[in-house]
Amino acid sequence: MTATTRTSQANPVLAALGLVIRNAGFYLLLCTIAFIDLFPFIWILLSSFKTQLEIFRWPPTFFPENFVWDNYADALALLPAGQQPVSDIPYGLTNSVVISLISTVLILVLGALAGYAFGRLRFPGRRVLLISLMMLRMLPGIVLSVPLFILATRVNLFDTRAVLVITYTAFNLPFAVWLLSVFFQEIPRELEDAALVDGCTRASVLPRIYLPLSLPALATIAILSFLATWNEFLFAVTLTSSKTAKTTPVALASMQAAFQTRWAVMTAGAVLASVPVLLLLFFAQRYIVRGLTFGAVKG
Amino acid sequence: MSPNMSLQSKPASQRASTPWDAWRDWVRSHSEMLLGYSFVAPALLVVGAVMVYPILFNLNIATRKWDWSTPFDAPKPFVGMANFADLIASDRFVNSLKVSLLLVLFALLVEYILGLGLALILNRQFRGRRIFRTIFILPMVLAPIIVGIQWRYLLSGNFGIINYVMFQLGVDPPAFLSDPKYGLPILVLVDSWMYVPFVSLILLAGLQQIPQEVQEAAEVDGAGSLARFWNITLPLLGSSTAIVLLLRGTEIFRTFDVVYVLTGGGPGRSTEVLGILLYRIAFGEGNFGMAAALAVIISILGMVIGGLFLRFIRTETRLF
Repeated sequence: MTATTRTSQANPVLAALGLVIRNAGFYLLLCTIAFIDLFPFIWILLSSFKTQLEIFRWPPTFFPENFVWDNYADALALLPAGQQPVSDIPYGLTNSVVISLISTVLILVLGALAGYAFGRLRFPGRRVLLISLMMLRMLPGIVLSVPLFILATRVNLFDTRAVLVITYTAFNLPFAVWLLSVFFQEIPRELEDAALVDGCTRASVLPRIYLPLSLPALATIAILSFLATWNEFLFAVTLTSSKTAKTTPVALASMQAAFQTRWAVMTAGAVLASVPVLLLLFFAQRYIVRGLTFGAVKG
Repeated sequence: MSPNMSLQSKPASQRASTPWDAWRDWVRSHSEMLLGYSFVAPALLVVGAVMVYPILFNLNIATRKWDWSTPFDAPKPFVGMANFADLIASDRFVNSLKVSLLLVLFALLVEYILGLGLALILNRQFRGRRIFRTIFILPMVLAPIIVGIQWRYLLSGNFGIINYVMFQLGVDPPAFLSDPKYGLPILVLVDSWMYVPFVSLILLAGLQQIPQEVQEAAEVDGAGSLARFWNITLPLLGSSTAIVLLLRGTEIFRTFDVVYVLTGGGPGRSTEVLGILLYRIAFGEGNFGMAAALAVIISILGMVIGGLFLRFIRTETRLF
C-alpha cells in the first residue's frame, strides 16, 4: 500500500528494528514517567499485603515475604464478635458511599434544573446570578470552615451525614450549572421549538429533549462530583467528629494521629479507598479528561 | 403560583376584570420568567445557605472576640479590627504568608516547565496513547489524603524506600520529614507529582490548536527549532498558559489536605501554609474570631493572585 509496507515486505525484520530504535528513546521516557506516577501507589499496594513487622524491616522487602490478607480483614473489621474494630475505616467506607452517592444525585438534579434555566430561559438577573455562581466557584473551602462549623453546630447538623451532603452539593453545583448551561445552549433550539409545537410544555422539554441529548455532560458531572466528594477531606474533618458521619479520608488520616502509625492496616485502607477511583479511571477516563479540561481547553 | 395553573382561557372581554384575573394573566405572560426562577431557586438556595450566608457570617465572626474562653451561647463582644491587627502583627502569619507564596511560585515554575516539556514530547501520534494517559492522570484523581500517606510512607526515615535506595547508591539520605530545610521542597515535589500531567494535558490541547502551516512557514523562512519554539509556540500558547497558571496558582494557594497528612505544617513551621494556619487557629486553639479574620485575608489574597495572573498574561478566553 504505502512505502513503509513495501520496505517491511522487503525486509520486515530490519524495518521493525528501525522503528523500534527510533521509538525506543521516546517510549523509554514515557515508561520512566509512568513508573514515577505509578510507583507510590504500587508500593502502598504491595505493603498492604505485608505484616506490620515486615513493613518496619530494614532493609525493606519489595514483594511481600508472606502474602497476608490480614490487613484487609482488619481494615474491614472482619473480626470475631465482641472485639473492637481496628479502625474507623469500615464506618468511613459506608459513610463515604452514602454521602457521595446522594450528593452526586442532588448535584445532577439541581444542576440540570438551574443549567436549563441559565442556558435557555430568559429572566431578569440571570447573567448576574450566573456570574456570581462562577465567582463562588473560585472560593477556597478553608475560608468557610469556621462559619460552617458554627452554623452546623447551631442547627444541630454537626457530625451528621446530612451536613456533608449539603456542603458537597453546594460546592460542586457552580461547575455543574455552568457546564450544563453551556452544553444546553449548544443543542439546536429548533428541537425545543418542535417539541413545544407538539404539545410539550417549557418544563417538560428538559427531561424529554435536553437530558437525553446531554448524557455525556451528565456523565462527566456525575463522575467528577463523585470523585470530588469521595476524596474530600477539609469539610469532612471539620464538620464531623465520630464514626456516625466521618468519611474514609478522615478515618485514614486519624489513624496517623496515634503515637505509632499502624501502616499495615492504613495501607490496606488506602487501597480500599482507591478502588472506586481506579475503576472510574479505567472505565470512564474519557469523561474525567473531558471534565478536567473543560473550559481550560474550550476558551 | 404555578404558571399553568389554569389552562382554560376566558373571553377577552372578561379578562383582567377582577384582581384574580389580572394576576392570572400576569402569571401567564411571565411564565418563562417564573419557570426560570423556580428552576434556579433550589440550586441558589443550597449555594446561598452553604456559601453566601457563611461568607457574611464569617465577616461578623472576624470582628468579634470569639474563642473557647467565652461560653458557646454567650454573646461575643465586638472588637472591631483587633483580630486583623493581632494576626497581621504575628510572626506566624508572616511565616505562613511567605510559605504559601513561595509554594505557589516554585510549584508553578516546576509544574509549568515540566508540563510544557511533557506536552511537547506527547504532541505526536503514538501507540499506547490511552494507557499512558490513564497512568498520567492517576496521581491527580487519587484522594489527596492518600497521596500524602503515600509520600509520607516513601520518605519515612526509618523504613522509607527512598532512604534505602539512596543508601544503596552511596548517598547519605537527609531526614526528609524532620529537617525544616526540606519542608517546602517536599511540598513542591508532591504537588508537582500530582499536577504535572494535568498541566501538560492542558498545554497539549493548546499545542494541537496551533496551525501546522504557521510552523512550516517559519521553517521555510529559515527559523531554527529554538527560534520557532520561542517566537511561535510559546506566544500561541498564551491563553493555555494563562488558564493553567490561573487554575494551578489558585489551587496551590489553597493547598490543605496533602500538607495536613504529609507534614502537618512541620517540621517547625516550615510547611505551615495559610490553610493549615487557619485550621490550627480555629480547631486547634479555638480562636474562631482570628481564624475568621485570616479567612477574609486569604480570600482577598486569592482574588489578588487570580487577578494578577489575568492582568499580566493577556488572554481572550470567554471563561473568566
